This record gives sequence, structure tokens and C-alpha cells, in this order.
Amino acid sequence: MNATAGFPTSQRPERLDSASPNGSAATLNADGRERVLAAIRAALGKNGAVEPADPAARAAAITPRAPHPRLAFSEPVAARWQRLWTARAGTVHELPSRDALPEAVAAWCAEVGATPPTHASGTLLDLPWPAAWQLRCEPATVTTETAVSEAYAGIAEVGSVVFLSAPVHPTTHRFVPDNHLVLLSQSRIVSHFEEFWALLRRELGDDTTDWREHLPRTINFVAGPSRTGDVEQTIQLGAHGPRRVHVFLIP
Amino acid sequence: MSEQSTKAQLCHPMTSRTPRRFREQAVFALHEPNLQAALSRAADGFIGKRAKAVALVPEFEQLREAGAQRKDEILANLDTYLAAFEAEVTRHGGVVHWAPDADAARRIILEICATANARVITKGKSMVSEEIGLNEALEAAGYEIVETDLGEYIIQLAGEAPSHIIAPAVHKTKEQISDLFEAAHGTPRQTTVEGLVTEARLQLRQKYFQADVGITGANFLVAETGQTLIVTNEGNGDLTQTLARVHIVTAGIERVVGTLEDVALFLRLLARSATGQDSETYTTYSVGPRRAGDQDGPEAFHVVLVDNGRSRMLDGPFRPMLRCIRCGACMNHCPVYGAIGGHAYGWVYPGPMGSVLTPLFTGLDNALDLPNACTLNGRCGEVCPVKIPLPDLLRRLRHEQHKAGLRPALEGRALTLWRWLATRPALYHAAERVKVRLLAAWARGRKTLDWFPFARGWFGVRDLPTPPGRTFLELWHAKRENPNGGER
Repeated sequence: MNATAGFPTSQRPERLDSASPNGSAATLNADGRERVLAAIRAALGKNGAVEPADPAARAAAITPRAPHPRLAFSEPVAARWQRLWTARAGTVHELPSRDALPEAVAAWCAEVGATPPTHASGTLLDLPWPAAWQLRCEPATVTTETAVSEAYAGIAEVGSVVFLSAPVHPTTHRFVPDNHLVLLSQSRIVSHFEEFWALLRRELGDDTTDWREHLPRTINFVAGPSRTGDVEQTIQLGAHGPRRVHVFLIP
Repeated sequence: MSEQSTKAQLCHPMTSRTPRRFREQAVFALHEPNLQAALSRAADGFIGKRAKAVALVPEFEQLREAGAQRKDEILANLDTYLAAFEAEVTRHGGVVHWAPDADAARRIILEICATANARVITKGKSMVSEEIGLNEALEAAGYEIVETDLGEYIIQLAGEAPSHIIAPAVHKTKEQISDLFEAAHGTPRQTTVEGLVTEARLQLRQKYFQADVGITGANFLVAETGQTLIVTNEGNGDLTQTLARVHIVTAGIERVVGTLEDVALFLRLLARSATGQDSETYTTYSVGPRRAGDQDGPEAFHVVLVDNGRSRMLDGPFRPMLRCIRCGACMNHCPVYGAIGGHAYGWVYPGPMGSVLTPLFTGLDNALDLPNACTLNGRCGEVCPVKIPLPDLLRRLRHEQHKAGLRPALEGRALTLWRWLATRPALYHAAERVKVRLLAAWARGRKTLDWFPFARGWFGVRDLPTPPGRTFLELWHAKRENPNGGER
């Protein structure tokens, strides 16, 4: 590279985009792809490189050669999860079993003065809920105040709960209501992010299909209530998402 | 190049500030009392929180080293990672668009919005969208744009640009925010943090549900799965991308990583470096539109990969700058940023990372002061989670300025003279002996000097302790010869 190669100067004309401003996004895309990849390959000194065609070679090309460092901890995973979850203003209540959920939810709502839930994960609808709540599995609306969700897993490393989107698990339940109540099994708490991905790959894939074929649209890791520090760096809970996130922990 | 893109390249799209007028802008910032109050509060918070979080992780140095190495591996094969990412997005029904420059990126996004018959567009925080001047382009096309990150919302109301990459309104005091909300919403004045946050929550809630298009940035793109990640604390990015009909992700090409295990590594570094937390509240992985049977989520999913000068940075000594994960630790620890805030830098990216990126993105001659507005104290490099040698890159930019003939002739002559003298030790020491005696004589017994001919500028803001009349080496030799004797 010469003395100032690598620098644009304000005198040097920008490369003109040859596509017309009225061209469709698809044509812009086709042209742009070629140009961006060519520029990258030229900068890397790769001449006429072609992408590995078969999935195995492609996977090998993007996989790190060795595991990355992790945070070592000796604390039991459930204890660490609970300590970090509550440190981030999440609350938790242990229950003997899933069947105890409706009664515990009613008690929690009475205790904090919350409106009882109107929305729930489809997987929870079989529980004996009070009929008056008219609990349903639908997307949350602007008036939804409380929802009950079933979590997919918990992560001890950071004290978070994980949700996968699905027809019975609407994503809006985790962000729209003021109160988000969560059912989590202790047996689903894993130690590190890596264990979580191993679990997901195992449970979504099988002998004949790539696990990624079943990848949900959205995976949410949630660590407590919504918060912001945007006004004078003062932490305030309940910015846009739930103000309260309460976990009911079953064995 | 179109006129619009020239403007976006040279000035901050939302203000008349430019990196060319750094000095003026810095002086203005130093005399702005609200800004000074906000900055002094912010610096302590960010530095202390990060230090506490890092102290709890004995592996942090190992993580930094691994992060730097892994980023370098990815950058060395960036085309492969991007192509793999694209294949996975496509597999899940999304569309990847490649934008060589800002102009192309804006046109792609305008086209998607037009095709969607959009009217209201909500946005999560995205520095790339600032870089490409997206809001101005969308507003000019008649769309209603709503920034949903609280900090971004505040500065949108103020008609300003972000002054920090993770805390865009860090320069605003609570009173200023109260004024802005009162004027914009016509509601009773809120004076507490809780009151202000609640008011923004209620105002924005309606917008999420009205939005046709939701635009977010991406902290990472995962080549293995095609997922794009956003890491937030407020939840606004999730409401933005879940409730709009169309989700557009804007991301620089260097956001791509290989696998989900790579993401784990960078998340361990990011939250601690940015806000001093073990993790942010929400970490969201999304790919494609809603799946068959899903009751919510967008119906269409687009990723706009923005080059805009990044591929040029791959070639040559500035490649390590592309490791940056946009945590903001460098600016939080920079005494220059701490004194003047982000706006003085004149473009999108402030602080040490901005002083490297701005000349690389907008032209070496367009940002002459930025690489020089640095004390080379090295703190930015020490806290960088991916070990970008920021002080070295800044020094390198100064060198490039010199090579390109962009430094003042007088500066070059002065340095040449100094080098001539400094490489002749006998002469140098003789000159030093004259200098300290001259200064001591000039002081006429006073303890400090407050002016000296030809140095009014330097003395304008500081005093010089009077030298003892002999040079350090003279004192040192005297002391060695007579260890028990007094100094004088």
C-alpha cells in the first residue's frame, strides 16, 4: 500500500453506485453483493476465492479451533442462577410442582397488587386456572398487563432465563406486559452459554435433520426487569419492557 | 457522488458539526456548564462499574486475548463468514442486502419501506444508521421515524446527534430532559427520573403497535445460524422488531462472528466493558420472519450489510480497528472525551475509537485534529475488550498525516530542528543548561512563572514551577559525587 492508501480523502470521488436510485432492492442487492465481496477479497489478497459449497466444509471454515475461556465457578448452578437473578432485581419463589402454579400466581398478584394474567404460554393452559381470568395464548396487546410464560432454560453464568418463540410461546409476552411471570424448572438451569447451545442443538436436531431447520424466529435471554440508565446514569426499572419479572422455580 | 452522500460523509447528518472544526467545538464544549455537569457525573459511574465487574472475573485478561485473536481470524476470512451468514438467513426466509456505501444502504432501506407501504417506522439504537444518515433520508421521504431507545428518543426530540455510542444522551441533564418532554408531549412537567422514564414508556408504547417497519442494529451476526443479535437493557429493540410488520437489521460487515460459542465469548466481554454488568437485560437472537403458526413477530426480515469503507480498512495497518465491538469503554476512560463529550468530535463515533474511525471513514484531511487530540496516556488500549492498540493507531494516523503532507510546515521544521538537537547529546545538554538558567533568572526569585515571551498561549491556562537553575543531570551528578550534600 502506498503512503495514504486505505484513506479516502475528501477530494477523491467516492465510487459511484452504478445501480439506479429507482432500481428494486433486489437489483441493488445483486450488484452490491458482488462489489462488497470483491472489495473484501481484494483487501485480503484473496484472488478469485470461491466459497466452500458443501455444508460440512462451510461449517469447518467458521468454527473456532479451540473452546473459548469461560468463567470458572464452584457454586452449584441453581444457587448461582438465583443469586445473580435476584441481584438484577428479578424475584423468585420456589414451588413444589407445576400444579401449584395457578394458586401461586393468584397469591403473587394479590401481594403486589397486580392485575391477574390474561395471557399465557399454550403449554400452561391445561393447569387449573381461575375461569374468571379467561387465560389465553394470544399475542399481547397494548392493554395486556400480566402474562405467564414457560421458560425453555436458565443460565447460571449470568442469571438469565431463555425463551424460544413458537406458536404456543408468543414473543410479545416477554416485552409488552407490565408483569411477566415465568415458570422455570431447576433441572433446566445450565452452567454456561456453551451448555445452553449444546442443549438446544440436541433438542432441536435429530439423526436426520440439521437442528437449524428447527431454529425458532427468536431466542430471548432475559435477565430481570427492563431497565435504563439514560437519564443521568440513574438506573430506573421498567423502561419499555416489564417492570416486574417473577420466576416460579419448580424442581 | 451525490450531494446527499457528500454531506453525510463530511458533516454529522443531524448537526452542522464536523470533524474539521474540532477545536472550535471542543472550546464550546469546555464552556457549556450543563455538558460539564453531565460529563463529570458520567465518567465516575462508567469507570467504577466496569472496574467492579471486571474484578469479579479472574479470566478477563484471557477473554480479552481470546477475543482479539478470534476477531483477527474472522477478519482474515471475512468473505467466508459473510457468505455463510447470508446462506443461513436465506434458509430461514430472510433477505440479505449488501451496501457498498452509505448511499446504497439508504436506497435499499427506502426501497424496502416503500414496498411495505410503510408510514410509521420505529427504530432501535443503531450507530450504523447514524453513520449512513438514515433518519434524514427516511424523513425526507415522508416517513414518521420514532427512535425508541430512551437516550436516542431524548436526542431526537432535541434535534441532536448521539454524544456516546451506548449512552446517546449522556450529555443531557435531567432538567433539560424535563424541558424537552414538556415541550414535546404537552403533559405536566416530570422532574424525577422515574417520572421521565414512565412518560417516555407511555408515549412510545403506542408507536410500537402502530409501526409498519422496525429497524434495529446488530451487536453480532452469527455465520453458523444467520441470527442477528441485539443486546439491550430497555427492551425497546425487542418491541421494535417484534411488533412491526417488517424487521430491518442494519449492520457493518465486521459484526459477523462464526458460531454461537463465539457469541458467548464476546458477550462475556461486552456487557462488563460497556455497562459493568454480567449481562445486559435482554440478549435477543433473531433470524427470518415469523415461522408457520407463530402468532407474532414480523412478516418479513431484511439484513442490510454495510461496507462504507470497512473493506478498505481491512487492507493495511488499521485492520485491528475492525475488531471493535462498540462497548464505549475507550471513551469512558479517555480524559479528552471526559472533558469535551462526544459532540465536539464532529461525526458519528466519538472518543478514541472515533478518532481512529472518523479519518478512516471520512478522509484523513477531514479530521486532522482528532488523532492529535490525545494525550497518549494509553488507558483506551488498556481497557479495550478486544485489545485494539488504539494509542498506536492514533500515532500511526499522525504519521500518515505527516506523510501525506497534511501537517503545517512550521510544525515539521520545528520537529526537524528538535531532532537535530536531540541526536547531539552534548549540544542538547548545553542548550538545556542555558534554558534552565534563563528561566530561573527570568523568575527573579518567584516560585512559579506565569508568562514567557513567545509562549503566551501555553501560559494562558497554566503556570510553570520555576526550574532550580540547574538541569536534572547536573543535579544528579552533583548528588552522586556528594551523596550527603544538600541539593544546592
